[in-house]
Amino acid sequence: MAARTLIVDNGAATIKFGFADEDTPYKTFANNITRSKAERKTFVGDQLETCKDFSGLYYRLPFEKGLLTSWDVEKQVWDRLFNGKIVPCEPSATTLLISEPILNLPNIATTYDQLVFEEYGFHSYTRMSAPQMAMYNEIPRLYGQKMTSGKKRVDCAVIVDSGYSFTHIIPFWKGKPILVGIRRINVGGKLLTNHLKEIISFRYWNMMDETYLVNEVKEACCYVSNKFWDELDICKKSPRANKILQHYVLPDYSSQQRGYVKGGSKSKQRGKKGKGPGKMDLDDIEAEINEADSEDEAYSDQGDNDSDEDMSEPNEDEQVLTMNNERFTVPEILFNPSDIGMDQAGIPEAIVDAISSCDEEIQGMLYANVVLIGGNARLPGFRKRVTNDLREIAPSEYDVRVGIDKDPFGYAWKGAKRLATMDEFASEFKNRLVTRAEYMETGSALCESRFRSAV
Amino acid sequence: MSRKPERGTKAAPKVLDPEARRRQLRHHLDSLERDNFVALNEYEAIIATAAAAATAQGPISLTHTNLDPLGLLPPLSPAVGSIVGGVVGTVGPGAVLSPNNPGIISGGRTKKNQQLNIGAGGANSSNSNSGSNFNQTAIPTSAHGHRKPVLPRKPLNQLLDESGLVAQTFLQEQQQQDVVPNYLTANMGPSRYPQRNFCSVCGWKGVYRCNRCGMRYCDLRCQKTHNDTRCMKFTI
Repeated sequence: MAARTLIVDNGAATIKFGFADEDTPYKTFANNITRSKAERKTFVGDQLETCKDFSGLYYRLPFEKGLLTSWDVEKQVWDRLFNGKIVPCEPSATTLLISEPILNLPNIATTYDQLVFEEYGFHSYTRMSAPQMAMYNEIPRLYGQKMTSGKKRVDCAVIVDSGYSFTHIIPFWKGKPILVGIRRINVGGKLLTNHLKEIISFRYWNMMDETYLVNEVKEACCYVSNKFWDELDICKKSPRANKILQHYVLPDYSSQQRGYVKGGSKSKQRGKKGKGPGKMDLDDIEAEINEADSEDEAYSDQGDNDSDEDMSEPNEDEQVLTMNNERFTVPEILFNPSDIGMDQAGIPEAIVDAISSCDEEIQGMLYANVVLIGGNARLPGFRKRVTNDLREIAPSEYDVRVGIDKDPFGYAWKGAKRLATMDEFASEFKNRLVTRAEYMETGSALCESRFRSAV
Repeated sequence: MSRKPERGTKAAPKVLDPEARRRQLRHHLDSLERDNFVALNEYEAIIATAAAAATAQGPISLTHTNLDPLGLLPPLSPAVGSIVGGVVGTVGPGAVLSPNNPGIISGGRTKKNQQLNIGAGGANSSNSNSGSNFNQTAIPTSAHGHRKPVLPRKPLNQLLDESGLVAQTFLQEQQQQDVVPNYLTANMGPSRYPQRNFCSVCGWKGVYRCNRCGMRYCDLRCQKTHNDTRCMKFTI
């Protein structure tokens, strides 16, 4: 049975997908239906790439608070993906590896099963959470080490998955999640973008309708600060002394599709004129993460503020958005949700809480193998900040190591690819799969038990 | 005989009580969970349409109090988000569900969602799922002749209720068994560190609080901006 394996990381914001047997990297597109008021068109999923004007986009998301509730929206997006419009996919000859939220509700999980088998008719499939997928990667590589010979997977690790809807801390033992140690912080990319929208709308321009644009601004300008109060004081200074201040040129959608940070050097500009929207600029992300880790001040990487000529030349056609302390106070919510009044602890505290609820013998190993994945992990300075904060509150007898991949966004997908292709995991993978025939006989309960117990 | 100066009949300056401030905070946190922003002037139009549709369907009147039986919604309500897009439940009332209060959660929230469902079903004819599929498990057949899966677009709170997790957690705690971790129990608890306060105007340290509404500011300039623009703006 030459069934191809299609790996789909079904996230609340984006879908990452690709065939396991191809060498090409995964592709991404938005997991929602958007309606553009300007163009009066509706875009399903990846059709957003054909959109010319991103102002005033109206979103319909299938996910609500991280769980898949609007199945009619999701089905429309999946129709495009599974019915061969984007990639040549023949469901009856395909094995599907799809991701679900952590601690998914059982009634939602059965709907996944129903849709995959009864609606699309996949040959076989398995469902796992994104951090579980990520566990199949070679995690010691993140710390500059090689995997111990003879072992195919680390014994234990803590995965911090900070995504669109929320952030989860999941300790793993021998590939299975330690359920009592799972913690969820209800802060994700969506909350950060909405918060940034509110602040900008109050202080500068009214951008409450411009979710897409503010998301781009967030990804271009925001970073995680390591010296919070010092940098807050720097922001109070005059523009000449204030290195943190940045100007973001807003796109006008007629001549220019994407905004950019003013004064940034060419290689660090996130947006180039006329560039297609929706493409992940992986080189830029890599450069920023690597540089931010090695330098003290993450903010100086995002656009040089030394070129004074750019700043003083006012271009009348441009609308410029000033980003000052918003650059780092917005991501600060991940570390202190109480900043906006949320009664939850931040990521470092949650990691300590999660690990403390696990067996004492493995706590040391867990602290030494913390991995950051998810979209928010792409913020410059994220890894350094988590390491510092965690070191402050973790027990002193344990070593603390926090690792992050060059591409934390697709790390889960890459792990799933290893699971599906590598021989070492072949038997595990086979044990996880539920074929359509089996489902038709027994039903959803079989899926539930097989996915939960298999490792 | 001295004449006392006539005291003007000035009303006492309105001060928000702590309950109102908590409501405002909750509303603000809910609004951060929204997918789309709805402006205030659209609100009236939508309520009018929904009310018209609702009265056509039955004796349910979508007055403000009906929309909000628990009295948790100030004017700029998250309920609007639900009606506008026809995506019922886009904005779930973002209460942190505690396993200790299952009764309150199911009773209050689903009732509100029910009313919103009916309103939205009428107002948005393209939205075929909300009105008719509500609480149904009809099984239409697909082209293959197999059971077509029902495509529910149920609000999250309803799904949470149906999953039985609230009841399960409650029972397990009652009987002092080990609670099986699930979506509800995984919620992270509060921090042990105190809250840091930021100025609501400029973002620096928010040392002072407005007497009337409780929002923070850092200096006199920010206080003036706050008083001019948004002190008490979002309250009834």
